[in-house]
Amino acid sequence: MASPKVAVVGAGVIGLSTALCITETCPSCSVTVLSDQFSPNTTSDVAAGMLIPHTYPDTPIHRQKQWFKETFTYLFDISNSAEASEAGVHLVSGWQVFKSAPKEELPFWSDIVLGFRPMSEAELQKFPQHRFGQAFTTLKCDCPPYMLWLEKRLKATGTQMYTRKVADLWELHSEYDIVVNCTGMGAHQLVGDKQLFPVRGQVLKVHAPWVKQFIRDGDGLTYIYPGIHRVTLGGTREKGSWSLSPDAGTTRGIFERCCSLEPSLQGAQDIEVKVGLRPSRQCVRVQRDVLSRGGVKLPVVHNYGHGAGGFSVHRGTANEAANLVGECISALQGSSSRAKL
Amino acid sequence: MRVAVIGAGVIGLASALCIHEQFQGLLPSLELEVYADHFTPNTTSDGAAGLWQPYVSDRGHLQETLWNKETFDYLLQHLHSPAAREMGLFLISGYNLFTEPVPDPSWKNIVLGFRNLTPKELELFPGYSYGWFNTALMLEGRSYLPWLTNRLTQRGVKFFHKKVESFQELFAQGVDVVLNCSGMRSGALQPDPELQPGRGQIIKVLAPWLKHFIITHDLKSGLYNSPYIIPGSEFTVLGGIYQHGNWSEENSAKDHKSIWDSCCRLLPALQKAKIITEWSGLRPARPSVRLERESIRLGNLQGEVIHNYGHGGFGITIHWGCAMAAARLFGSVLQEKKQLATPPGPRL
Repeated sequence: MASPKVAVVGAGVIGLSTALCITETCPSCSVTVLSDQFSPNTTSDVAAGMLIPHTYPDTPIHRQKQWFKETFTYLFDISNSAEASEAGVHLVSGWQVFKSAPKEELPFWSDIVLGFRPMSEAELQKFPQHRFGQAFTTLKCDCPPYMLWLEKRLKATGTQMYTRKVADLWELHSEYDIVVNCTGMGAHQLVGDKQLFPVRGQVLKVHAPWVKQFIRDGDGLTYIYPGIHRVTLGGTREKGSWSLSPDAGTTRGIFERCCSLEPSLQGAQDIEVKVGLRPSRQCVRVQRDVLSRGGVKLPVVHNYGHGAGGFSVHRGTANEAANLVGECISALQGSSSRAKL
Repeated sequence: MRVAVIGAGVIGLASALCIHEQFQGLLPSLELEVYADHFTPNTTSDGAAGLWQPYVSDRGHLQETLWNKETFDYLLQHLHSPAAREMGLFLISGYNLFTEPVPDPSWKNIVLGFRNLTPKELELFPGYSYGWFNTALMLEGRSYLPWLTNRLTQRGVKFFHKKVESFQELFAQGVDVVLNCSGMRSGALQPDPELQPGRGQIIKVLAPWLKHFIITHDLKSGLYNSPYIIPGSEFTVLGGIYQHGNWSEENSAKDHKSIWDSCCRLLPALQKAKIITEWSGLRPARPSVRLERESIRLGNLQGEVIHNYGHGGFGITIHWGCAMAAARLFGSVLQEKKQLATPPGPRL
């Protein structure tokens, strides 16, 4: 197989980074990205893009840690390069505060982020309702810049990108040798994965350029993440809600909760409300699969179900998915050479 | 009781506010006036980035360390007040970088979360092998000075756009106490060979992805002669010039190149940053801050002067502690005046 044709379905951060990894591990591949939405209209564009991992209950911790480490290292190098501002990748320091003692004193990622330490008494005084805290420096991928930068990198490799709604992965079997499924919440319909469920998140993106530090409540519901031009205020975690319409009461609630952590936000301007459905699953599905109809096989690699942790592990899972694509190619080449005998 | 403040930078305005807040109630006859030839946004304080950070070594002046602490604590208290935004006050974290280990600074316990940099963090800054991380405060002059001015105006303090040529000129008008907050130009009011300009130049750029201050130190080239990058609420300040004895307030192309090249080497992404403007200013440098009383007598004229100048590159950092000290000195002047019998004859 001289030039395997790979279709990546989905153009969120997972689809784009997976496509990019495939071009890196398999330069002879011809990669095409197909998606009904591109930035700035993907779920990824709603997210703040903070590198603070979400813990998946059913994925082994060492695997999650590896994914996070690879992602952090990759972005760390970008943040340190001349491309940092174009890629939208920047360092941000801040605090995670807890009203009651956190389950784990040291999360699995504490030695990967920078300068992780407990907050001092003096720092905690800023948060009278919270009794414990962690201070650290991590990375943020601002969207759309990061997405646009990924698209630019892809175009430079000759990757084509098309707006197309794929109703059934099988419809690609005649045009492509391998299909990579990075459809996020779309996998619910597309592959009938009932273990995948939405966790609705509403956020506010505001103009508050004096906010330089992130603040996150350890309960994951209230957070303030300063981006390049806007600060993301969050949020909600509504399991099972499919609604993409902003809710005014929720907006007020988010604003109040964030102002209680950072009173200066009262002066924030230009409040923009966004909603995204976190494509949630007990474990991220990074897995090979085969679709088979009438003797014809279509190798599939799944890479979806990242829930609240998409940005935190995107590069790590993209690497893994690219390796699985490599395996699929070897398998195809093996079987095609067998067919010749 | 007429009090004249000379200078409308951060020192003059804060001293005026401190005195008015503390004594107006006790002394209804208090008339406070501010005289200056430059007002915001044209003062030295407006050009400063506004980062609270003292020098890395305290030059042995414990008193200055205490004034720095007083200022930090005062500002920290205001952080959650509704005024913070208007004051231009916000928290910011960042890095101090060195090429060799150095002792911890006098202010390590004043700022929040002071710690050494980890090896991973140092990877971000090739050429630097040691450093600190801490959370400090920004107090932007472009916001703070107007805020102080508003507070003073609300209190009935009068402002005069005038270049004062001598203390005597004010005493002749009936001023009882002068607060000399004239910064760099104090030498014109009273010769002070210890007061020298520490010329600085800065480039203001748009780099909104930067959320940390980065201050490098080169113990060989000296204070502020090593690149620094300080993100503000709107612009990022690039600097790294300190020229002792240079009175020029013109931007120098050579200094521009030095700042730009060294900052871009430190942060390659800055090459893409848009340059907005450039500015030069004179830090009113002195071996120590001059904060003391002086009785001036010339013929029939007499009056008290409270000097409060020579804050170098740490004016914003130390301003409130000094303003409070100046207010205490004013208090002692009042005490003495009450105890002294009114001298006979007219006061000229």
